Amino acid sequence: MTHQIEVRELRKSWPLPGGDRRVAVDDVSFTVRPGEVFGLLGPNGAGKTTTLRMLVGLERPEAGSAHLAGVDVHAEPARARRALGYLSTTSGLPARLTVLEVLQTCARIQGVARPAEAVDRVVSSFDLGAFTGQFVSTLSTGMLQRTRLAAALVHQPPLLVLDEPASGLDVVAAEELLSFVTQARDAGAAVLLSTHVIDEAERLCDRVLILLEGQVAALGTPAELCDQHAAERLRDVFRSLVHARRGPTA
Amino acid sequence: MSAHWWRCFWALTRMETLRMLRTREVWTRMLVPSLLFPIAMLALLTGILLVMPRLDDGRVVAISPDTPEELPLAAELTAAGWEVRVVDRPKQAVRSGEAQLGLGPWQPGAGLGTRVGERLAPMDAEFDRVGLPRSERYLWTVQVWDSEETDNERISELRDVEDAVFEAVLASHGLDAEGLGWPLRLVRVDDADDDDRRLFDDLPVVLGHQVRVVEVVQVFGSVMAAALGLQLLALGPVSDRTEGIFETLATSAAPGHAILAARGVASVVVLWGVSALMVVPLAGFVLQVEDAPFTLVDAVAYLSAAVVWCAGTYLPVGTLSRSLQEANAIGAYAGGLAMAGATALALLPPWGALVVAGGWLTVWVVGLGGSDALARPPKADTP
Repeated sequence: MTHQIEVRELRKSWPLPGGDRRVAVDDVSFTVRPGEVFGLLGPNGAGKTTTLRMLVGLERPEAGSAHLAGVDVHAEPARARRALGYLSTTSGLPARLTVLEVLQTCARIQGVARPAEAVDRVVSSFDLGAFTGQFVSTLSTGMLQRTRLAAALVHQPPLLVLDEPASGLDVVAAEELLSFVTQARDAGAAVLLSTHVIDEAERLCDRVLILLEGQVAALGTPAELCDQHAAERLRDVFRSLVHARRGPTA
Repeated sequence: MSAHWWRCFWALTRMETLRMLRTREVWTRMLVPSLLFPIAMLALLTGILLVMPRLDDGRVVAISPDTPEELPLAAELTAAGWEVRVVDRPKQAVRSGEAQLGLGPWQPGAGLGTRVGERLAPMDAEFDRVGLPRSERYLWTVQVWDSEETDNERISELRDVEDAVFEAVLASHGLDAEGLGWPLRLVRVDDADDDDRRLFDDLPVVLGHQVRVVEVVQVFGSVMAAALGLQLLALGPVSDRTEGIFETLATSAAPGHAILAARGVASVVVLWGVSALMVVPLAGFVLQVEDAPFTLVDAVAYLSAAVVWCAGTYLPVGTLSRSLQEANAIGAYAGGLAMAGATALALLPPWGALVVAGGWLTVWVVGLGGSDALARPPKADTP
């Protein structure tokens, strides 16, 4: 089994009033390899979240397929997700459980053989020791996000899908959190990172995919994309692609 | 089901139960009122016992002049503390409030005399009428007029008097009344405008048997379980979707069936606890004061079935609703279905009720577990 994320020709559209449909994701394909941070970039409404939701099985694609560690996520969702750690801006934790209870539950439902040891490991890694007895509802934004990431990583997943993980965090907390991402990558995980912070992507990602209006506009390493578009920074590449797509009046 | 399925099921059942028990509303709106209910019921009972004798000031019985002379009814009623008035129209006396109970007119027919005859000459074929409806075995029948306020309480007292009358008649023949039942046929004549009473009179016909005490208790238990469950199981889970907890579960390695089965079981545990606090004391009380043909085990079994039924009915509401508006709209129908279905379970034997309710919950767990219900994104309520 290859511990990688594989997306093939995904397509999804949404109904519009009047019977028409708006294509949200159109023929998107990519692969995230072990030990790689793969950035999914795009402006608001580009189809990033829809792509990720199809990838983790929250939405059914109209066409195409998504495989996690070689398992079709729509055919065998529970098995495919055993290799997955997922964190999005819309996923949440039960407010009336303590941090420790959340981590224990996550370890068990993710099929960890020794839940207690796994929980001790992430509590130590994410420096949560002082908060384990605290209800989730009482955590600060930064601690909550750290707890969510710990819950997503408690089973040491080889695949990590993160949708805007630093959203809402201050600079220090965001940097701390993103350092966990690089640690996971260094440990051999395949990391798919969706973000609209281009500088963050340029710094962290080994390869990036720029999604515009549901279609792949560019795919490659940040250096490759800069070379292709004769730009110094990835944000310049992004800006030129967006402007080109919207036309000269934009 | 694999070991992983069971591991997920137990972990999530524990988690869901803890979450529910730590929900403030469960305590403030459900458990505390439930704990107060037995106390309130005890206080009510004490109040009734203390106050009722003081209210018992209307003990006038109107008897029509055609009361058979053979019956020492007036004497027995007087001995029982009634003021006896002989009036031509007892029904009018009751309606006007002059009397609380009216007896008459009397119609001759098979009745008391026949029964006495059976005792006097049990081998005589002429009196061998055992097996016929009781009313056909008496010499007289009498219309009993009862005011709405006194309802069955007066009738009950009258039956005691009738026992004494019957015993007196038999004693005059040197016979023992033991095992002989009622000497008079009491015909409760209802107010023609009282539709509700007629409805309940028809209920035994609909049910095919007399309304049983266990059914009355079940109605109470079902209403309680349905009302409490609506808040806890149908409306509460909407916040699980808006807060992203459904999404976290739906993207975990836990099988969908295990997630929903765990929610179902946790719901049953908490709802049963809350409902039992109200229903079990009531059932125990009824069993103490009534000679009811059911046990506390039956009452608990029916309550459990009602709770499981309600959990099964509300599970799709809580799982599928994307907004509080949706949950409220569907919940209104589900509440009716929960109440009616849980009540109807009393028509089955206890084990049958449990099997049907368990099957209902299982159907929803299986159906929803294989769907994308948990993955549905939340929807904003429209103003």
